[in-house]
Amino acid sequence: MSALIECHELSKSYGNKYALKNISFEIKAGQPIALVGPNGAGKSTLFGILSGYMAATSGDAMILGHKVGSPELIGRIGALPQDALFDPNLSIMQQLSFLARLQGFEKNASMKEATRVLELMQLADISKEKITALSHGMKKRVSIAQALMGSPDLVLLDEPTAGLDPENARNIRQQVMALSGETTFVISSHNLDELERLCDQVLLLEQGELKTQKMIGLQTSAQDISYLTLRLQTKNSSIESEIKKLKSVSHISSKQNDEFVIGYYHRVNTILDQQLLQLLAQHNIPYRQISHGQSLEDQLFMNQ
Amino acid sequence: MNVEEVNIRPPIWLIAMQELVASFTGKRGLFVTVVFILIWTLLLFYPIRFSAEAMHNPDSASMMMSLLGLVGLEPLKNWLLAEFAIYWIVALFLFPASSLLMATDQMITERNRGGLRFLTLRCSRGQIFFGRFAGHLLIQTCFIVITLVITYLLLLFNGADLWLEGLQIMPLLLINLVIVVCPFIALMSLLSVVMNSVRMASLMAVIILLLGGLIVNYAASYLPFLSTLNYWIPGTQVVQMAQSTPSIALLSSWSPIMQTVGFLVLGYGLFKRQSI
Repeated sequence: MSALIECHELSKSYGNKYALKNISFEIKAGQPIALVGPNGAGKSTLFGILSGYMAATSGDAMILGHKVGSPELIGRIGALPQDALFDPNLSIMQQLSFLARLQGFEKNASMKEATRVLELMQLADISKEKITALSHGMKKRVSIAQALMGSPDLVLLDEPTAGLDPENARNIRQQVMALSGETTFVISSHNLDELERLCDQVLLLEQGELKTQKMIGLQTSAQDISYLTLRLQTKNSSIESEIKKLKSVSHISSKQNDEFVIGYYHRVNTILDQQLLQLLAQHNIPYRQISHGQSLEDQLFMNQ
Repeated sequence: MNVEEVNIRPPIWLIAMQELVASFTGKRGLFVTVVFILIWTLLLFYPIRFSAEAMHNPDSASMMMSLLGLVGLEPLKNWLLAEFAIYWIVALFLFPASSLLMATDQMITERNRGGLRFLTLRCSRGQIFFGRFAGHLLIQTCFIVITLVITYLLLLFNGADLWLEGLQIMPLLLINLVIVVCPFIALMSLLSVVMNSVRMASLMAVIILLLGGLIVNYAASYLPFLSTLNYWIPGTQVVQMAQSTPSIALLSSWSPIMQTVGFLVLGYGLFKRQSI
């Protein structure tokens, strides 16, 4: 399968300051991809270059085999730009149907397409409103709706659930999962739990450099150490020493005594999870969750 | 997407039409339109009608002719249609002004709001830039047509015997006036790309149009080759056009057409590379 996105030695600088520094990576079409990093890491700049909002200072960026900004990509990419607002003087339907017409829809079909994406975002009843009449969360959902118009091959979502209430954030996650078959999503977010649930690949940017590109939670045969993550209902510091005594455990890291990441040799002991449950039962310690692997946060930041 | 759902209208046309809609729904657009209608209503029903009546009337015609001679508009005496003669003078100065006012914000507010980002994934920057220009040209053309038709009705009201001559001169006036407003709209297209606020773009336009000639002439006294910059100040030919008939005025169209092409090429070149 050819790459969906290919970046080669991509750089963007503002004067002497680099927002992106010689980034090279390749992404194939498929499950959603997470783009993470601290504020100012260059996530929005990378999205801006891929969406054609700004030009790179040097390097190449290709999408679907075409250079970014090529006419061949028109209508094939959707994007939720950060902080972009619709025209306050026109209704949501007027604006979305206009965008659909630019994408090639006939007048009636453009209205249907606008209605379809608004329904996906549970906003069908506000189609006649102007953007100024909507809350922050609704405005964001309208922007996400426009990104989904015409079922593009690639959708870039810059912090899609930031500022949304939990119910609407959940709806957006569900839509992303439902549409993942036909569209590849690249999602930038600070919510690592959300990204862990949605994505199977992550790109970590720091100070404009690509630090990591890896599959989330993937255990390769070359790795000797596996991980179990245990979350307790209440804090308990004494259990850590008991867990260490279990066969095959190599190390434990604790977060505030109610979450433990247990590293162990899986070839030596394939039933550590069952032994752990027994241990908790013996000591009468209630637990919230036991899961295989590390959280995305631990995968990205624990070994740094 | 189904085949029957495919839109055959080019994006540049869709953008031009959307600009037309957006111009009349925004507060600024509505304000300028209301002002435009008020000014033209007053002009058509008072100065133009009374001046035309005065030129028709043998008693006041000689006084009117000497008045025109005083202000350098003597050739207007040769016009058969007095209503259109007065309209010509008024329109030559008012339409550039209204096109400047209405076309100021072709992209500035939208770029600052981030709204252009919704468009660039669906059409090229060239289609956006030239579509906006075409939209504003369409708006001014509509205004010119409306005022021409009202002037023609005024002509019929004053004396129906010249109806054919009136119909014949209207296309010539329309072409002349559309060519006259072109560089003003194109200048605002360029300033919409370069400037970051509507106020600054308006101010820059005023500086170019009112002080541009003075600045260029002053600079040319030291560096004579700079006098060629005078060719790039929109509207320098308007006074000369006012002193001639529309068919002769058409001969000076090369200047506004050259300015329009120049401003558009420069504006598009900058917009193509601009971060939005």
